[in-house]
Amino acid sequence: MSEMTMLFSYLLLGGLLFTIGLVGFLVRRNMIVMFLCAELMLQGVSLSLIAWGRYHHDWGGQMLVIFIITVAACEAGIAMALVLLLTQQSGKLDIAFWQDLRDPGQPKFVDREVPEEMATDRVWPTLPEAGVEPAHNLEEEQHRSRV
Amino acid sequence: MNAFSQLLQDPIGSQIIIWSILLLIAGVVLTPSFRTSVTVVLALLVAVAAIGLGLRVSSPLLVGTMLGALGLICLLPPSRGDLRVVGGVFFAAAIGFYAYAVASENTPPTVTQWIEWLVFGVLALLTVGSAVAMVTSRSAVYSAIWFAMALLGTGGLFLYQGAQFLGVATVVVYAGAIVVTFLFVIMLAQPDGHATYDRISWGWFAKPAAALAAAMLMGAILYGLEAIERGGVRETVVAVADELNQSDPPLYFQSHEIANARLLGRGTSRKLQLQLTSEVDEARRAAEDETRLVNAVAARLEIADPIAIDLQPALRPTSDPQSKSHMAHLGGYLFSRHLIAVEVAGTLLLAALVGAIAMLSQSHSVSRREGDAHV
Repeated sequence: MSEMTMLFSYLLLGGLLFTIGLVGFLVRRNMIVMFLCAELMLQGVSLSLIAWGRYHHDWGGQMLVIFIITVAACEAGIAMALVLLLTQQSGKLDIAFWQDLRDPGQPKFVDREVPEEMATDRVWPTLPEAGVEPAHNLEEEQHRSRV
Repeated sequence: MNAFSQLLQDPIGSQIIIWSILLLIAGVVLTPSFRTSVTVVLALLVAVAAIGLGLRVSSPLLVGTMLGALGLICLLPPSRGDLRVVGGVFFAAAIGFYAYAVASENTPPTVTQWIEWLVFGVLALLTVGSAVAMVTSRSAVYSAIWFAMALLGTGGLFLYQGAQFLGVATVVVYAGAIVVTFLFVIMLAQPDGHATYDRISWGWFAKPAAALAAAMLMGAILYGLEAIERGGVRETVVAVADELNQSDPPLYFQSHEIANARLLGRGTSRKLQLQLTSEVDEARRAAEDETRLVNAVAARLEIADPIAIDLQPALRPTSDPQSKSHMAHLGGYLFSRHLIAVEVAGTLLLAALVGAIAMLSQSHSVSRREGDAHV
């Protein structure tokens, strides 16, 4: 892979991650998911910075990414505290609950139709059962050679 | 009006206009008020139109962008059921178009290059696929877990670029600390794991608008990338060629436009393509001169392989601490040239810590006071 192709591919990938994060931020309403989308946009920027740094044979790109990670960590700490504060008052993570903060004269956003939950939405990951004694096979135990 | 007709004549400008109109129609058509089966059929029609138009203007990158945007429209809530399957197929097709666009720019690869491409492709697919799954999943818990998966992918991509420290730091700091914090907050704030607002969006407007914004952004990035690719190589070749023309005996460079045209290649109108073909034919006739020129450029730039004119010494991983590209130099760079920035970042971390604790402890005391008032 030549250096130019590598740079091209990485910039493409960084742009894709950034735009996917952008779409998610604009469309989703869960505060946590919106925040994750913002972090995804940061990841896209980090990818392109590292690609440029490698292409120009310079440490500047990687150094900027170190600072991005630092700032993202600060941001996550503050944002999680804020989200917890907000959920203590509203009881849910819906950002639309806070539309009372809109300018006076703006119309209120009302959900016209809320789809009911389907059975496929209620499938949760399960862990294998642990700490259960396995079934004994008596016949096999009798045939097993004693140590 | 004159400017508009100029824009229509410009190959990329006309494509962007066509695509944006198409995407707007798609966005309005795919509103969730229709029945799912009708929407699926309409989405398929729009996709067929997109592919047909894309093949006509022969630009796989733009087709991929538009198909990806369409796929995102179909995948994001409130759509459900069959429409999500269709969206997944669209997105897979978009990835395929992207891969084709990147692969078709290159000469047939050797075995080593195949392996390089394979590793990169697997990592890229993992990252983008997890990112899409994160954005579209209906439960915040799944979103957080898919985000961790995307982070593992980017960590691998960082390693692939020779950024070992950052690859590991991303996995440890992001996937290990930040995502776990998110999961804790989800556990505290949304113990059911699912909620109505995860299955809906902002009315009918948000999805097409967001997808349009994303497709425009991606189109701008691609346009910029083509300019970079053209500009970078072209400037190098032109600068050295000018220098060589003044040398004695002068090496004649046919025309700067030919080099430019070869790099432009894709995404052009029929008329321009014909013009380019004739120019390239002309250039082929002058091939001897050109081979000599490329070799001379390579010799001047001290590059062994004439094909890799754009090759610069890159930051490759090495185990020799004396080498300039050893990872240890990152620390030296960070703590010498950017020492004050490091101090400021440390202060920022402290301020964030204090701020978070102050906010939460204040709310705690407020709620306790309210509780006293009730008693």
